[in-house]
Amino acid sequence: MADTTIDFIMGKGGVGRSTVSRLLAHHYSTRGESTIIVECNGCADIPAYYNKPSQSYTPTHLAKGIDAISVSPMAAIEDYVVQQLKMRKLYELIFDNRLVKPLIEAAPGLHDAVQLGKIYDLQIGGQWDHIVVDCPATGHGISLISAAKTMMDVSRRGPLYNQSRLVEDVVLEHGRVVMVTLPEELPVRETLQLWRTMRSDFHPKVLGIIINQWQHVSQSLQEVFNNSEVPHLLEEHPEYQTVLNILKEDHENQILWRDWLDTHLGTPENLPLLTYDKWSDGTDLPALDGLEGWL
Amino acid sequence: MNTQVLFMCGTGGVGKTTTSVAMAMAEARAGKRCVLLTIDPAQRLADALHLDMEGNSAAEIPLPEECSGQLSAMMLDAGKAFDDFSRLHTSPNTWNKLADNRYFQFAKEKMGGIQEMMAVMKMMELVDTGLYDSIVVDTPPAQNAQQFFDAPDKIQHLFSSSGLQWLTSKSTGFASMNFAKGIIAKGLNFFLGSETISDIGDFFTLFKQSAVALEAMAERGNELLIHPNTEYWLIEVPNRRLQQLDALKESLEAKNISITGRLLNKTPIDLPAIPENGTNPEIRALMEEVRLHHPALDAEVTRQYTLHLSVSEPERLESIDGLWQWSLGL
Repeated sequence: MADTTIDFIMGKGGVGRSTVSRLLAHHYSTRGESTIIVECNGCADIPAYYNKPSQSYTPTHLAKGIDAISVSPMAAIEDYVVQQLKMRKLYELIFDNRLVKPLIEAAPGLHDAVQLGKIYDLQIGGQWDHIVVDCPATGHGISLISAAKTMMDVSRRGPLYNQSRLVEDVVLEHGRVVMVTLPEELPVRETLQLWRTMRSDFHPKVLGIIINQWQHVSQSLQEVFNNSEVPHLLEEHPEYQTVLNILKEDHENQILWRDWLDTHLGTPENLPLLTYDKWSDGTDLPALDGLEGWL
Repeated sequence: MNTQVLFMCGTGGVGKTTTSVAMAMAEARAGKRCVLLTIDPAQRLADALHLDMEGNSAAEIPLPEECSGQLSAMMLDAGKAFDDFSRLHTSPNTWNKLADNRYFQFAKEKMGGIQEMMAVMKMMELVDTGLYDSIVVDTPPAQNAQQFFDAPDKIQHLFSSSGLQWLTSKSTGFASMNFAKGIIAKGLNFFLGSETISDIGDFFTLFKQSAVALEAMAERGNELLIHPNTEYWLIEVPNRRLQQLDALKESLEAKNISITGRLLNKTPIDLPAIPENGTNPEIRALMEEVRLHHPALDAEVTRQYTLHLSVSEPERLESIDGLWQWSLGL
């Protein structure tokens, strides 16, 4: 069996899962290891960051040691069925007709299961050292990672059950979760909820949490924030005073929510938390110090 | 239809819920009776407004006295809405069987389009009450919003498809199949397992009556989506790549729906130039620091937006009063 690891990047919408997926791939690349980034549900946003056209179901080379693939449920179903039946014509007859297609589209958990199945294929293929899965947003991310288990519950026996079992075994053995969040109340609360769901429902390895879009504040400004006169310092320049207030409040809030998360995680094994500074899109992705500690 | 519907679309993290609240407040300020529908499963709106809302019921939000309009908010509980809908359109006996059907449970949670369809249904119910002049809809993040707009089509397709007729009809059921059907059935059995197929078959048989109503609902939903009184607002924030939004835009355009306008949230506050003279050097240095941490936007970028909401002191957004003050910027 291949040693390829599967890193599931999870978090709510807009927290920067794609950014973190790329960060991990870059990190592995500096160690001389190869990565394929898997985008789910037909998303294909990653290649644009490397000025490459959006890829489809075939892996696209993006940079040294970094490839990407976009998996859509229908493409994954086709792939799976053709693989199983060994006959494309039969696939077309059975699945690509207007009678059955809506049924397949509506089948419970099937979308997630076939996408996870594709990740499984990539894993046992062993072509890359790492698979980084840019998961769908929170709830859908959990559906994806637990898809094999769901499928086992639905099918109960037969070939689908057996295959789901194989997938589930690989996910449990090689899967690792990285949670991404923002230093704000709602994303942080949702992260805690996600962590609790994961801990009670299934038990994937969780590497840690990355708090993205951390607003870096200069040392001198931080010192100013400690001054109790802050709300009056720039009184004569009201716009500046307002912005100063916002900066201070944002700064205090992000520390507050980071610490809140840290205390509420309450794990004996001390889940690592890293913060990643805000940066402007269109510039090079800065590396994240501290990643080497957990990957 | 006299009711105006405003869809607020955007990727996660742009402040869609708070922006939707601001938009709804602006509607109320204009004298309208407005209701805000949030279909995001997270209780974000409830958090922001410190409202403990029960799913699927509209609760009034108290606004300052000078406001001539009204504002209510509703949180969608799609699972509950689907239950209520199914119960309403079947006999008690069928409903009991349906509630026990394993596939029904799955469909409720996971069937593509059901959740979104229920949101569209709630919206239509709100229109039908005649109580509101305007409905502001806080859509889920862009990726899902697309599924949301496709939902009526998908549902209609699903329940009207002859495949399901075939699957559930007694005379052509699995027992009496010709060769081609036999192959299709075998393929499905192989793929989904025979028990799943029979669960699905039962579900659609039990759901037949409700399906007729659901299909009619989907058709009306589609009409509402393309109605001239329906507006689509894109919410964005500075310095963020917007590919998902592009995809959403494309799918709207495919339905001949155009974007009403773009709204820029978290617009930086315009900082006047630092005065050359007369300012104490320490203050000047601090102003420079503030400037550095709060870069201005290019005028070219700013012009692309019809509406702007400025970046706000966070605590302002944690109260109705604060939200009201902030929404005055619209």
